[in-house]
Amino acid sequence: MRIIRIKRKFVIATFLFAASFFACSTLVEDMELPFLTPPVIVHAYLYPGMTEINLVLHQARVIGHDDSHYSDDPVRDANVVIISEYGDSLLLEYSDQRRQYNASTEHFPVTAGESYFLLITHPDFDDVKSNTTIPFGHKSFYPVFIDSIDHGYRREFFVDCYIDSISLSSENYFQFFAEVNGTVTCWGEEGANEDVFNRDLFDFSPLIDATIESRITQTGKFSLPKRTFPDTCNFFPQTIDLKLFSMDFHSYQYLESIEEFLDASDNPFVQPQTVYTNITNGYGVFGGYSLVERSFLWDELLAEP
Amino acid sequence: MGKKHFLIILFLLWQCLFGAHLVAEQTSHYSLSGFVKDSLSGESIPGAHVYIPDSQTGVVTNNYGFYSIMLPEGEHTVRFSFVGYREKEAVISLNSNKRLDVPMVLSIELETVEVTARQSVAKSPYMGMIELPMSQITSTSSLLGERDIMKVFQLMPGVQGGSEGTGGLFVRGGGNDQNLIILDDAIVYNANHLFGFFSLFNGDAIKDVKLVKGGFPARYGGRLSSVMDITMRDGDMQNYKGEIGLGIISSRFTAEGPLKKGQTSFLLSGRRTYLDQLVTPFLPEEEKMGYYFYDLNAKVNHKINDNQRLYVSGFFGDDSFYTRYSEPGEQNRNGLRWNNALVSLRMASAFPGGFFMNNTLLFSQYKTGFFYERINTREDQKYILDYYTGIRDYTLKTDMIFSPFPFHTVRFGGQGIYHHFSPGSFEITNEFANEQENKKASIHTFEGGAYIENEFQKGKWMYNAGLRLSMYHTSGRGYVRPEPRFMAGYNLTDNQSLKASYSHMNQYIHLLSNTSGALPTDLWLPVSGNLPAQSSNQISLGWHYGLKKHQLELTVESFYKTSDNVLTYRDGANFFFFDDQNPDADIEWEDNVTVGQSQAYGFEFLLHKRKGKVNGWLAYTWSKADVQFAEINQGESYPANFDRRHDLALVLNYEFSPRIQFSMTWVYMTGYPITIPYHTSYSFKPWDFDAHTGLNQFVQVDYFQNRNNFQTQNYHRLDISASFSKPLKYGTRIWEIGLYNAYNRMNPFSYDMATDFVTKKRVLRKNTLFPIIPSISYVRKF
Repeated sequence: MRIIRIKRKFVIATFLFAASFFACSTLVEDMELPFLTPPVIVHAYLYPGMTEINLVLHQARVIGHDDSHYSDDPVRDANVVIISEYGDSLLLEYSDQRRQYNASTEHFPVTAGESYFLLITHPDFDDVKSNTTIPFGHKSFYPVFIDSIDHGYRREFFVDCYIDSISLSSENYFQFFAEVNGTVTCWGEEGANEDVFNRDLFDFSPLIDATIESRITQTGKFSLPKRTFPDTCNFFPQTIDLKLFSMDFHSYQYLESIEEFLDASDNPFVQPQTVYTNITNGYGVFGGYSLVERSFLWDELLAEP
Repeated sequence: MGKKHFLIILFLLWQCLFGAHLVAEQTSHYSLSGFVKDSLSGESIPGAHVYIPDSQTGVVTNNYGFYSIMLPEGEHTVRFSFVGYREKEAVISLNSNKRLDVPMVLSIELETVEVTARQSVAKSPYMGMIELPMSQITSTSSLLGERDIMKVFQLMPGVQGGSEGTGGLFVRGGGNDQNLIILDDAIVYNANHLFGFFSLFNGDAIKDVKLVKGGFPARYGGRLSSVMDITMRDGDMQNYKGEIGLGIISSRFTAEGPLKKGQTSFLLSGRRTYLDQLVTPFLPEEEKMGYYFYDLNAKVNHKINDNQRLYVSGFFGDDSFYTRYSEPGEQNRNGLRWNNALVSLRMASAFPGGFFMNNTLLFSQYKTGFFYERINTREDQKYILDYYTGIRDYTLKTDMIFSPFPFHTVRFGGQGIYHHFSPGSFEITNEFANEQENKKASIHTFEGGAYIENEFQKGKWMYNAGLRLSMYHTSGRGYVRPEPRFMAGYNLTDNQSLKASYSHMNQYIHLLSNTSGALPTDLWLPVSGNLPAQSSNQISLGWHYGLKKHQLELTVESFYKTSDNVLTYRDGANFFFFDDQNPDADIEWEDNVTVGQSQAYGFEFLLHKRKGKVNGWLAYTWSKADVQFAEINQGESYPANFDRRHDLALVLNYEFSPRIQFSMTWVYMTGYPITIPYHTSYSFKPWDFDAHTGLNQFVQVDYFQNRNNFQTQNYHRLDISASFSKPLKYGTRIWEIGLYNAYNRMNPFSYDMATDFVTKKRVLRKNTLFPIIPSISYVRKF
């Protein structure tokens, strides 16, 4: 009996000991991350017709060490050179005011179809290199009026925008913007008043990888009020204005990976996303794109079968 | 595998058979065969050793306790042994084919262990195979006192667990989906309860477990990394027995006995957690939540005659996590659920001449999903979402064993599996909008296999050579692939041997999972037109030594394994196959994954004492596993998930007296790699949202230098437990107490990035799930 009593006491004491530990346990612990030398981050995009090349060069902030402030430290005294495929070079100068490197393209025109090389040298880090080829602007795109629905107090218009005649197997990466511009006339107590209005047909399309399809359709819609109170206004769409950005592979991958990075952030059901880079010895992107803008008369769209 | 390679293997296999045939023709030989079984319950004993000292040859009984061996005419001494049983020796005079059924008597003394240990180590060509006595599995300390087979095997060399507490198996650098787990021959697709914290297998209902991690015999196929072959107990043919166990979160029962004495037996064993029942009274009426699982093992074993047995066994398990809340006019219910159902019908027949055949019909189903239900009680309208994914198999299988020539045992057979996959099906009933929507994804495939293997054992040499022909067919794609297997051993002395093996494996189904537990996001998928079959090649070398004096087995093995077409999620893949940005887009699972290669190598050490007053094992693994995918980590190789460099486990069981037993487990593992960002900066877009060109500062992004670039904290833990048993007038009562994580080490379960409110700096937050956890349970045997 004596032995049994000791055993019971031992068991109870062990459980109390364990329970007290359990109660005092902190199940979450914050840990400091190691300090790893921050890489340099480069951002620059070239496009035909640009008058000035801008390049942002800064050092990444180290998480857990200097990420409490919300601005990146620029790298000031680097030697930043862009070289064309024909050997012409352009030296970019650092501007303290704009916190970036700039140079005029007056004697260094950026041309579609040409390749450009970036070289950044600095005594504190390895040479940073990259290159891009400026894509040609794609001109075959247009809107088609599809239908409209009367909702009583407003009318909704559906317009499909097409990117057409895409040559397959070549790099065709797009982002599409479309807006409607027009005039609005309102009659109030003070008489008629005319103004302009602007509506997004679609503010921006998803990034489009058109390497496998010869025709891309982006559906857009906008609605205009039929009656307003206390004034009575009439809306007259004038033009559909389209902008098509044709970008190189690097710009597309970079922008796409950022979108996926944002989707993955703080979501335990999404795999981590690495942000794409084409920078050797650094991160960021050195990309190229071309922009083509076209405007279509609304009345002509309505008249088309 | 090259054609030349394949032909060499075929030639070797043919030589093995034909060479033996020439020997057989020189003298008269007869077969000795029979069943080895427990003398009291009549249960068959798988894995028992049958050894003929004069000829220095032997065999091991199969899962049905059957053995067959061809011996020369004359008198022979035959020795039968198995851990925990008294060794039995019989002298037979062989002048015709003979049948010898052997009842084994349970041993209390320890004198037989030496022989058993020596034989199991030295006298078998198998390597990379772990067999643990159930007594050792059930006495090993575990979380909340549950008898957990999966957790115990995680303590063996070459086997890594996933996150703490979960039941995932990562064998020799392989993935969690590369393990074939079979219960009475039926494939188990999810071997866990409660997100992996508890094993599906109720230790009370299990007779035998073996894990093969390298040196795969040709009879096994379908997975790259391991096979866990679990046999359910048959039930006592002579006496009624029962057991009830009451634990902190669950209770269990087992009942067994004869339906017809000596001819038919049954076994029924079940578990049920009651956390939901305990919590419910403390929750408000309008807000209820809970979790429960239950499982039920049932088996009927019928002895048709001395040569034929019929087995019907089943497993049914269900997990459910639910929440319910209501407000005036509205009721909401949602939850997650998993369920497994396995049924197997087997007919084992022994024929004259030592020929054994087993025919099996199997059904296996795994289903997981979540549901959401909203009811407007005023309008009597409902919105119901039911999402599920699963797999259902129908299998026909036959296995045959016979001993055509002296010292040779030949096994051959085949199987066909009809798979029915339901990846990501859902049904929506929306009475509010009067809409009904459903997507019933359904894929049908066929998987087959035929094998032949020849096991030879004589004198110093032994080998097992085999060939498996795996087949697979789905719409638009078919595979027929040979899989050569070879294991050979050479006995250096009576108690030590050198062994080597080669295995080529193929796997035709994949599991998409990002955890080591089980979540409804896990998806079993077949090989398709875009995703090729996985395959692997593994070589291993080993040295096995039986230390006679100390009843110890020492095993040292090294391995090198390469795998092709292994699967992983792409960067940014969404496990729910749902794109928030574009809800109408139907994300195909094939778009979410990418294929690549993996490579693993390592060294394993195991010192094992199976029986005795002090028993247990010391296991150490040094290993390295890398994976490489063209689309991830810039195409460079990186450490595999759960790649741990060092893994050490010490398990000790001590029997103070027949009534008091003590057990301790200490594990140490280096951390596993995870991906965390070290740097952050703003990104810049070439145009803004209004399409104005220029450098526009955009969002802040984090940079990971490489995938799996951070090693988590090293892990170590001590578990201790003790059991106090007392014989009563009817049966025995046992109190089991335990401490999980006895010195309260704050081991990492997961990590996430967080912001310190004071410094505003981001920190890496370590989350611990299991501090010190006491457990107590009461068991009553009758």
